[in-house]
Amino acid sequence: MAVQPIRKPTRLEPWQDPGQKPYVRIEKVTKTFGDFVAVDEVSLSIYRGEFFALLGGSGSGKTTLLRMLAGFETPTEGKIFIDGVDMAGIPPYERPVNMMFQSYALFPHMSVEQNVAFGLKQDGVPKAEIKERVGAILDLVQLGQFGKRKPHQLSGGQRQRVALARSLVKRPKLLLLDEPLGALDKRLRERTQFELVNIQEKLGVTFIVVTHDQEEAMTMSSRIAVMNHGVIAQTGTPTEIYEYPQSRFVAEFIGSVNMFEGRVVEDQADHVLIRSEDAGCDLYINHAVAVPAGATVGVAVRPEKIALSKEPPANADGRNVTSGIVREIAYLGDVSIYLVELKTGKTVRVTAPNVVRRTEMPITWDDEVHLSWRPFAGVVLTQ
Amino acid sequence: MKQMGKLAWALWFGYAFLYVPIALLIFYSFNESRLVTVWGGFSTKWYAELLQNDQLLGAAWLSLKVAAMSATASVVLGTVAGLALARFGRFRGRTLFGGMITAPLVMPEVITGLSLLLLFVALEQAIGWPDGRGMTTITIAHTTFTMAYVAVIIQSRLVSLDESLEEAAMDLGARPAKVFFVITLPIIAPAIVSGWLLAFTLSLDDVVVASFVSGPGSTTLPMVIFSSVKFGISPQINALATLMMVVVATGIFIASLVMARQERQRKRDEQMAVQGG
Repeated sequence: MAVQPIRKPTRLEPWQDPGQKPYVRIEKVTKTFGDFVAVDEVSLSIYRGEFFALLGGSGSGKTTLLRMLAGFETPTEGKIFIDGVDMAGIPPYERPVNMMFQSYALFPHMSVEQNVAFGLKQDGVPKAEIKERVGAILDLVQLGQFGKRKPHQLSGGQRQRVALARSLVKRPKLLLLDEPLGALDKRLRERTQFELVNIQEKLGVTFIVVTHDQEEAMTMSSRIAVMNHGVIAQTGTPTEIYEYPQSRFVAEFIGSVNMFEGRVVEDQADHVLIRSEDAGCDLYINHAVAVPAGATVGVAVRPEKIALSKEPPANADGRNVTSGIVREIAYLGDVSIYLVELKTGKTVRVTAPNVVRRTEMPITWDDEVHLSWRPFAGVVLTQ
Repeated sequence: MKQMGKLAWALWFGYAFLYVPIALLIFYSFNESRLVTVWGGFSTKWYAELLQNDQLLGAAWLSLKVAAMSATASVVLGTVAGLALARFGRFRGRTLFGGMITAPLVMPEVITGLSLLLLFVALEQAIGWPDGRGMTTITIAHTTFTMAYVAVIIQSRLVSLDESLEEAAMDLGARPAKVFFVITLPIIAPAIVSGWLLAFTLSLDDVVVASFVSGPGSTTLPMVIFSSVKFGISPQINALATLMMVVVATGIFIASLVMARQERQRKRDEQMAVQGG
């Protein structure tokens, strides 16, 4: 799984810079439909030029939040500011925002060119300029020769690019994307992810994208807000979200994770020691947690951070080392997933790269194996 | 095999049930004899006589005018009603309105006709309009009962229309009124056309409601046919019915041909698009 963000941080990121003003400010926004609370007191600041992802399962409120930014829904409570202007009472057609719809919403009775030109026509842009801008944006999304076609004469990937071109042609400061890659097949989705990021960087537009696909959010965005039941569970860069989840929900939603229950025995400034019945060993983690000794906590360890070996690891001090029996192996080509049943009865998931060929692998079903991980691998979760 | 034979018989019987009466009607329109049910040899003289009959032609012309006007009016009203029911979310009494719009579909025609007659008489006494009964009252009456059909057609089309199309247009800067005329209306145009055609046909063959609200000198074609039957049917009526059927059948045939061709074209386009990646 792609876990490394493809962006290289070169300067101070805007959300770390106290001098920066957020471009979009969402203040304690709540939206209810009857008794159902879709969005619950959400506050967010999004900065100019960001590629911001709202990540969550269905019913998490992510799409409702996006629709409130576009103006299709009105917040029950709270305020939304875009570029410092309160958006209350401003209809969708007067907002400096464009949206790309999940269904693409291409007008079926218009050609590709007419679809893209629609927004410019509403603004009364002169004909010659419309023609020029439509041509330029269609070239950008590589649909230059398809201008005269109708939407039903295009493939799924081409329609997606028309929808993108149509929402970008007005040069909005803020583009909202609702599951932009949802309708594409896996290969096309991977290619399009990179195209989207390239276009966003080229045009410098702020993107807010709604997605349920954590991989998509990880590869494309500068920051992610993970949503659950209308509440933001955590906001951070993809690395922060993956490596330092703040709650069990986030840890389990992003990637897969092994959860151990345990009791804090020792909490020092530079490490914490947790005694875990589940794991069958002491867990040593090289960061401090602010919990009293004796408290019950959860420890999350990612499957790829656990090493498997048939021999007990050297310099083992009984910490972060346990053993079990291999019950299942799933061969995925580049990696294999091992399900190891510990002596305590708990099943642990381990991902290991297939450095040698499948047929020469030393570990097989029903082998007794040792599992070990480094002090930085575990994350203590108190929530 | 035996099963097939039985099914084929059932099929033939069913179609005979539907089409034998019509075939008989067409057959006797070419009858030489004045007596409708006695075959006197082949002739087209009733067609020639039909063209001389001013009363019948006048009634046909009136019927066409009434049908066209009431279909147009009911499409406008029906679209507005369908739009309100499909788009304005949940307003108070929406279910009640939704049920009430379809009530005229099941209302006995005699009751519709009688109530409209009472309304027109009351209106004439109160405000002096409509002045007597004639084409205007027939058109209004036909609009009332055909509008319900149009509203149902438009509403079901709007419900299946992806609402994000309208939202996208608004998002791109179009005001709601403009969205309706530039996006919604062109997309639902086929439903509007079929609603118009249905209203036109319903108006054209209505005899009950028209009998209540028509006045002297404004007799529609179905009324003429109906009353002439009472005094013994003339083969002219057969000829007229045959002509009407030819016109309607040709219209339907051409429409389905065009639709089939469009469908084929669309399928080809889609296949091309998929292959073109």
